[in-house]
Amino acid sequence: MTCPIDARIAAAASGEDADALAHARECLRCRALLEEQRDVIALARRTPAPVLRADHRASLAAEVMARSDVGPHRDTRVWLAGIVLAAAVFVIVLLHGVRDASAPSLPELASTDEPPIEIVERARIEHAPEDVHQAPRRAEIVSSDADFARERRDAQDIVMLRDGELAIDARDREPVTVVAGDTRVTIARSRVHIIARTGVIVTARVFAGSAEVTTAGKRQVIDAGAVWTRETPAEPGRDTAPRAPETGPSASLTAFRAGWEALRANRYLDAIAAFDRATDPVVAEDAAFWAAIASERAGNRADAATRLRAFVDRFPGSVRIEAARSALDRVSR
Amino acid sequence: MKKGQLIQLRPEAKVEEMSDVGLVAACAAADRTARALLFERHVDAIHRFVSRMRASDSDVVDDIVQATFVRAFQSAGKFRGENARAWLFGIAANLVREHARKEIRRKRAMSKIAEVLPRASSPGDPHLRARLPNAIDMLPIDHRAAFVLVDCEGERGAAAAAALGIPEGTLWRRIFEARTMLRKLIAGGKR
Repeated sequence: MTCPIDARIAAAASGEDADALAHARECLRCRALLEEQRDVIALARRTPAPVLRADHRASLAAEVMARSDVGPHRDTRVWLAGIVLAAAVFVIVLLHGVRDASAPSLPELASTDEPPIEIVERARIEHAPEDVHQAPRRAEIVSSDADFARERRDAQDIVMLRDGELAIDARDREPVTVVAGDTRVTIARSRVHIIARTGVIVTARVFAGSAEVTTAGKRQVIDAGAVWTRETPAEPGRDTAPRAPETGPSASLTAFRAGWEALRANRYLDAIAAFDRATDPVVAEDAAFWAAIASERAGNRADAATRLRAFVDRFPGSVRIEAARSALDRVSR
Repeated sequence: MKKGQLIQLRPEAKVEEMSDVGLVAACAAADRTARALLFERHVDAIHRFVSRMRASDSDVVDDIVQATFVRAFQSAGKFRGENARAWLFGIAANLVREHARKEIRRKRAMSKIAEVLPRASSPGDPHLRARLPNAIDMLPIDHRAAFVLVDCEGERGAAAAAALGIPEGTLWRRIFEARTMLRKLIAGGKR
């Protein structure tokens, strides 16, 4: 009779190895080991589990949702690394070009006019979708009232947007470029919402993936959770005038983060003020809820009740609706 | 969720009734409601798991729980399993391990706790139960993860092994060793 290895005794103690269990019934040594293992299991089962309180759970939920809406912080590092890598590649290519140019004696080199074309073609092949046999579908564009035209130009899907809002989903689809005035938004493997006013793109909000915004020759990559808003050119003679407060979704996200930090630092009035500035739909629901909670924690039950009632009316489908109702009961007592 | 499997994201049923696999797929599409629901379904288990893994360092529990879900939402598109709970446990275990590598406090806590552990005799003893969290905290991180998943969270061996990315035999060996170490730590080295 060969005794099972320790790992099997462990499994038997958890009821997951019937053969080892049967063996232990007949073998004194294994039975003793099994009992020792079971003692620890029994102890673990009797030890009270850590409990997540409802308010703690709600605060965790808000923070997780805010963090996931804002997007990964590591992207900054990733992009920095990408820029450094791109710069390194550029330098290598440049040096290679200089070296090639200084070696005209090689007879097999093509004429100086041709290599750039070959390089471009190669780059295009390298960036082709994995499945070259199946042509990707065109990006999905949803619009209720936008004034736009769509055409295929040089095998590229181009949308010329004059006014209105477009929701574009190019995940697992062909890339699309939206053009208005001097601004181009290239959307590849991403989901983006674009607003244009009188022939000018004013906002591009990225919900998934990333988009490249080029305006007046300046290129920017916007990641999921971020919003690009057009910079308003300063009027001549007004360079020194104070700027109007930042508005729009990015300002709301900033305000929400400030509110959240203030709430965690128990600075309730600061938190309420910041949450009240977070009015964009991206964060409005969370901000309204946490402003009410901050108000309750500040001891202002009447204000908290008003805010909670407004929250329940405004966001009846919220995942926080039950928490809001119970908070409302609490502050109304 | 196997590659190529068709997932019905929005059937006639409400989003609340979606399976975990469907929820993870919806999370991959940045669906906010799905993310909130996935969080609501599993946050208690993940919080318990991380709390037990980091008993002596409760201030990092929240950070790790949050990071688990944020990382899950970011990598939802890569999820290929069928057990979202085990997948989340795996992410949490990796984060705990990453965190543990950065700190050396555990060793100090270990010597301090070992000095004060009194002897006791039976697993039903409330003093023993009270000491278990600290004793778990003294285990090597990989043994701790295996023990907490199976003996505290009640995961089956196969699911726990999948979550930790190790063969099932390795999991049981670690559990055997963890239980043996715990027994020694708590009862004062009877065996």
